[in-house]
This record gives sequence, C-alpha cells and structure tokens, in this order.
Amino acid sequence: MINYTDKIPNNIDLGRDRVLQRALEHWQPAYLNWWHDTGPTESHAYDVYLRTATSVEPDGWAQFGYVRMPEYRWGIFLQPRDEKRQVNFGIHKGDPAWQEVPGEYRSTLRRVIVTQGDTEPASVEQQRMLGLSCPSLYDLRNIFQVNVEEGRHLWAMVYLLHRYFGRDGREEAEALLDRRSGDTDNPRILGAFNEPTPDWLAFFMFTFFTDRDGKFQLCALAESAFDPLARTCRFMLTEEAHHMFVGETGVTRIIQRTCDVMKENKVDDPSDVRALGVIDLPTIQRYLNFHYSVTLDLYGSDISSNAANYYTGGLKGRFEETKINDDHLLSEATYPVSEVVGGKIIVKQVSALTALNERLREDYIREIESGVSRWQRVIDKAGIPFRLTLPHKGFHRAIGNFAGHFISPEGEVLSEEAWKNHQHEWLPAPQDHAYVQSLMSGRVVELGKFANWIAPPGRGINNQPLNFEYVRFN
Amino acid sequence: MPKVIYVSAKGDAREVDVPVGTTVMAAALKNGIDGIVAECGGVCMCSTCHVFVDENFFDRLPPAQDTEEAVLEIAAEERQPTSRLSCQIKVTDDLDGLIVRLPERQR
Repeated sequence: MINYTDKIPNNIDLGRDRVLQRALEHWQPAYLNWWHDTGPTESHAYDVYLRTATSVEPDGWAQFGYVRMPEYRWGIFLQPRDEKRQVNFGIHKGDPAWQEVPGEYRSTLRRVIVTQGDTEPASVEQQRMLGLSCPSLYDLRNIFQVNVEEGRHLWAMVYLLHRYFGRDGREEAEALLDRRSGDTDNPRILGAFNEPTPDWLAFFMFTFFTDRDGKFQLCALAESAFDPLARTCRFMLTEEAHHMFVGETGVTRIIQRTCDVMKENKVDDPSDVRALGVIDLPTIQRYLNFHYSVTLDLYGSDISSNAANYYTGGLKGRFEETKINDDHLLSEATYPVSEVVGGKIIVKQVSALTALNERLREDYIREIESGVSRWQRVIDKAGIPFRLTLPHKGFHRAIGNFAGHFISPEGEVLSEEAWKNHQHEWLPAPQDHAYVQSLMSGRVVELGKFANWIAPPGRGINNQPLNFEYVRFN
Repeated sequence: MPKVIYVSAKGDAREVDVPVGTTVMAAALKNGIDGIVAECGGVCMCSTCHVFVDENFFDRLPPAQDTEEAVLEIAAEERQPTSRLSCQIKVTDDLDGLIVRLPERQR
C-alpha cells in the first residue's frame, strides 16, 4: 500500500532513506512553484473531482474525491518487485534484472530518463490555458486529471534521477523544472512538446496521438533491464490509459456532433457546416494529419545506432518484448525501412537492431489505425460519405528518412513548390485555427451543459451523472 | 473452486480455476491467457480486457455500470450485446463454468 503519512506519498519505503527523502523534499517546493507558475491557469482554488492513486494493486488503485490541485498527493509509486525478473533481451539476456545502474550505462540511462521525464511537464505547460475555454465541467475535470497525472509522471522520473544518479541526477531534476514548452532559449527536448496546444480539438488530438506515443515509449522502457525504471513505467501505463480515453472519446464526440448537425440541417459543404457552429470534417482531418505526423517524429530516426545500443545493452526493449518469439538479440535479423531515392519511396532491408525506432513507430501506427477506424464508424453510422484517413507515414516529417522530402498524404513524392501549394488543404491553416478558436472563446461550466461544437459523452466519470459538479470554482 | 473457460478468437479453449472474488481479468493475467491486455491495471479506464460473455451466463452477471458502458465504446473490436470488461466481472460460485470469448484484437 501507499504510505500517505509521509510528506511525499510513496510505496518505496522512502522514510528509510533519509538522504533521498531530504533531497526529494528539497525538490518538492520547486515542483509546487513550477505547478503554480505553469500549471492550469486560474485553477489553484478549484475543488476538482479527481482520482488519486491509493495502491498499485490491480483490484483497484484509485479513489475519487474533491481535491485542490496544488494539494494533490503527487507521489512515487512502483509496481511491486518480481524477485525472479530477468533481463529479457540484449547481451545481458538471462541475467537477473538490475537493481542498481551499471556504471557503463549510467549516462545513457540518465539521458533516456531525462528525455521521458521532460515530456511530462511539457504537456502541462502546453495545455495550461485550455481551462478558460472548456466545453463542459466534465471536460474541465478530465483535462485537470490528465495534468495532475502528467505531474505525477514527472515525480516518477525525478525519483529515479535522485535515487540512482547522484548529483548529476539532482541537477537534471532541477533542469526539468527550468525548461519551458515553446521557450526559444530553453525549450523542451522534443519537438512535439514545443508545439502549442491552442484549442480543445488540438488537446483531444494530442491526448489521442501524442500521449499514445508516450504509452509506446513507456511500454519499451517497461521492458528495461533496469528494474526500478521498468516498475515505474508499468505503473505509469495504468494512468496513461485514461489520457488516451479522454483523447479518443473527445474527438469521437466532436465528430458525432458535427455529423448530427450535418444530418439535421442537410448540409455538407464545410462553410455551411461552420455556419452552424461546429467543426467541419475536413478541418478535423487536417488536425489529424498534423498531430499524427509530428508525433511520428517522436520515434526518432528510422535507422539509429543509439536505438541499437539501447537494445543490445538491455536499456530499452521492443513493444511487448516478452511476447515476441525470436532470439531477443536481433544480431542477424533484418527489418524493412522506407527511404526516398530518386524521387520514389523504396523499401530496403536493414539490420533489425538499427531499425528499432521504426519498428516501434509501426507498432504505434497499427494501434492508431484501429482508433481512427472507430472514428470512421461514427461518420459511417451517420451515413455521411466522408473518409477520415491516416496520411502516409512520410507526410510532413522533420526527422528520419523522410525529413527534407515533400510527401503528399497519399505517399507521392512532390517538389517543394507543389507540396506548399497544397499545404493548407492538408494541414490546419491559420484560418482553421482562428475558426476553431472562435468556437471556444469562453468556457461552458453550467451543470450538465456542453458547448455546441461537441456532443455530450455517453456517461460521466466514476459512474457520476453528466450534470455532476465535477469542478467547484469556490 | 469455480472454473472459467477462455476461448481465443481462433476457438482454442482453456479452462482455469478461479478463486471466488477474483476478476476474470486478473485470473487471465495470472494464468497467462493471451488476448487479455488490461492496460489500465483493472480500473475500468481502457477497453483492453474486453470479452464476449457466453449468452447462457450473460444474464447472471450484475449489470454494467456507466463507466464500463462508456469504456466499452472505445473497444478495438466493436462491442456486441454480450460485451463486458473482464476487469468488472468478479467470479462467484454461480458463475462456475463461465465461458468468455476473446476478441481478435484488444488495441
């Protein structure tokens, strides 16, 4: 069980390690200052109906209740240790899982943890203004839940830095609070986490596409030979599931509302749809194209010696590593990777070890396809002849083999000029953003009410009704 | 001890003894049943432990609460009339012999 009597809730017996406890208690005020400065704006006095982790047991780890977010019990929770766990891949395969960081992997593991940790506060910063334009109390509560849990994920990574990486780790933990999303002088590490999240359609797309990247990265790290990292990531995954639920159902509800309005009013031209105050389907497609493509970049280069070294060293595995039936060494295996040669996209076989980023990206794409097909069901059920599609994976890419090339959503290699001529058909134009934001000029907070541009959810949170007071403004 | 029979999408059946009070999801994980993922750890926040309950047993289950109904909407394989989340089914003596069929995909 989690110890809530400590200043920092934990299930790691923190009280027995006074040095670590003091170090984290020293970091805690800096964290709260960061939350105050860059967390959800104007929210500090709200009572929010949030779930808080109370156990890591599978028969129920969360309890719901009203909490002021600065008083949320952020803490350190790891899945229980499996004493028999072994390294499952790479050159250390078969060894007992590591309980301490081997010296040879210290700097690499630190970098992996810092990169993951940096994404957690970044998304809170990206979303901090959205509470002012929420479409309902239900949605306001959901974004706050996502925010506090991203904050807890930061705690999870900071614990590892403090506990296992000494002074370097403490300095990195402080730097995690210093960087800012979108800051030109001190930005967050990964590109997608410096993009603005200016409206709720972007938020829902972000939680569907980019939080799902987080899930796949956590799944790969949950296979790590470094057992504390693996156990930390396993528990983070349980929280991440709700974030993706928020994203998927948010977009579903926007599509549902648009389809309902289109049918009721017998309109299909986007300008007619917009005149009715909902988001036209082509704009939703453009947002999808943007968020999907920038998230694909997060997986890194298609061919990566770093990825190979992480795997061979046992630091980061593949998605569902232990369910894969192969030698878990990959020294002889190959994997197909795309590249642009002579104006055409070709596929070549490369070492599977160096293609691990691409493999993880493709695992992600398969899951994304499944989600998009569920959005399509809504459109199909409404009888509207519109298809939401995932663009080609080379479309609008800034990292990897497609970077510097101009690929259409259909996968055609174009000239820069031809691509730019179509850019605003494929990606949100400034007027698209302006329109979407015009719908969200204020917040909807009456009990049980929802903004015109989004359908209510089927049900509330934790079996509460839709007109429940999910947030009290005091 | 009650038995639960897990039937894979390909039709392979596996019978597992499950202590009363254990969820169908937890028993699947403990016994290495492929096809139950349980990404959220069993708190009804994802749909990766989706099962189709045999019609002979479906009416014996307590009805799904609102949260479960909401989460079933995002199941990877479209929900059917007997769809349930296995994390919400606690095994009882009355459910001895319960048959659950697993979808082709959970994600």
